[in-house]
Amino acid sequence: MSENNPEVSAIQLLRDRRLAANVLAGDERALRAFMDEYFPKLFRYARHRLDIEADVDEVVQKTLAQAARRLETYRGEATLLAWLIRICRHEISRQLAEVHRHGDMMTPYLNDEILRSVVETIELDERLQPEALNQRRELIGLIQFALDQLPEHYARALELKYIEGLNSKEIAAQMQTSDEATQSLLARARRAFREVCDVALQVVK
Amino acid sequence: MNNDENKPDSPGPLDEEQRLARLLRAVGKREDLPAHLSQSWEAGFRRELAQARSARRQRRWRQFAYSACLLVLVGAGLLLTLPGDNDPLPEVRVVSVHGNGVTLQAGAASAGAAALGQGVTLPSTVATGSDGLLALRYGQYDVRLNHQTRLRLQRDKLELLAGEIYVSDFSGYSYSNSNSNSTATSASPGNSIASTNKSSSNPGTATGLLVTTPFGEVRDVGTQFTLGLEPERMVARVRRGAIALAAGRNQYRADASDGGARQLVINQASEVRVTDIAPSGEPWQWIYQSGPQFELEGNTAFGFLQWVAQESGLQLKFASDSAKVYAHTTMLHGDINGIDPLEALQPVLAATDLSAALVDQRQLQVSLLPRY
Repeated sequence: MSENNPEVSAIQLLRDRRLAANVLAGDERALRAFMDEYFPKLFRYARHRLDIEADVDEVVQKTLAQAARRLETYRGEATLLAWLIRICRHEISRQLAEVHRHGDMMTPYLNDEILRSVVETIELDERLQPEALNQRRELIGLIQFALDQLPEHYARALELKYIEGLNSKEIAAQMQTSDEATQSLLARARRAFREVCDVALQVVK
Repeated sequence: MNNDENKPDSPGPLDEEQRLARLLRAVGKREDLPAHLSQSWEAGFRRELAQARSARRQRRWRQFAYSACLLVLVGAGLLLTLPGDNDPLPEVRVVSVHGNGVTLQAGAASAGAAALGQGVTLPSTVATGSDGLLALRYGQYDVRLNHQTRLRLQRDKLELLAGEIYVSDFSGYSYSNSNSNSTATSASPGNSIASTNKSSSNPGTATGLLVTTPFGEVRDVGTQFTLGLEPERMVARVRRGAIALAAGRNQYRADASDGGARQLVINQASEVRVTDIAPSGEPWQWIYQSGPQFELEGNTAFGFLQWVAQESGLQLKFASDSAKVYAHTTMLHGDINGIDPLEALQPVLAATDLSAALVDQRQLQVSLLPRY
């Protein structure tokens, strides 16, 4: 999404620079916002790449320790999430190398042509061969990672709408906004999801 | 992403939303971060952040300390290498050389013949032989060496080692460049000559020029004076202003501010005797002989009269403003061929409508002739 919309990207980067600076300065509210936003996303990113929860814990702890030490070097060239993911990916690679496992993080490029097959793959019967099940699991992680790259209220609105099956009025009530604003939000969220899916898949490649 | 609407079999917007819904339903709700991990990570992240902040503060403090140290070192270096405002490096230059055996020894270098116009690095030692005379500009001072004299020039003082010197704090007349047995040379590139700015080439203006001798230290108080070392005594003569002599714990002062002249003699027992003397005459004769010739051609009568008064230790006084204006506007021609300044007065002023007379051997009074 950010690469496709320079205006949004600049705003996001500015916001991320401020957040990092405030965290470094010891601003408790900024620290809370940082943890609330990025800890779950890092968890999910690592969770879909590592089988053992203890490994996830270790990798994310190392990632967060590195991030704390290097936060003053963050200049806002990429979003904070991309910056954190880069560290996390490095830690995952080290973790996998330590246990002599080589997880294949290559993922096919997702576009409109294969979106249908992606959906079909994910919806496949769980009695499939292990290889197909692995692919399904990987794609699920990929899509969830794409959701994590959206602004949290976008992702939350999409989840409420398409996973929990709420209508726009119910979503508006939950998100404490109007029905009209919710419909507009959903439209923007869908568009952003498609864009970020594309970008996310390329990044993971 | 491709534009679905450009394809014949591409799904419409409704289909796209349906596919999106199916996709998200298949993927399911994102997994929540377990509380125990959240708490553990939060504690760890806070701890790491605190350590990072502490390290950052220490690093900044060290950088500040290094910068401060560097600044102090640079400042100290500048103080050590550059002359300060209170200790300016005086401009020193040879302005007149008479006779043979006049040498200049800069620092530890070997001595060489002093040349007219030569810049002098500090410290240096200048010396004259039995027939040599030398005049130097030392800051704003006019310093002259009699025969058989050795003088060490420091940045903040003069050291009289032997012979006799004359010091005047006035140098407001023109110098001739047509010395008989010397040729003018410019200062060598390595010479550390200070700026020609008068205020920065004036060692000891606030406290007077310091001259050290084996008999004590002499400091001038706006004056013209001579200092002569003899085997068993030192003779100081002052004919303008005053000098202060410090010999051991004793302080002496010879004051000539009344227009007369004083002689101060101190022996090896530090016994001092002060007497009145004439401000011109035999003891002062060598002074104008050692100095540069006055360049009469193209100079004003005022400049000439000022030079005569300076070289003779006299106060210049004009009888009227008209006389002073006339002196300033009268240009002179010819030369004086090394004549004694007082002897030159009559022939030079004969070509003008000015006359000069000595008053009490202290004052040179200049008047406009009556017919003017």
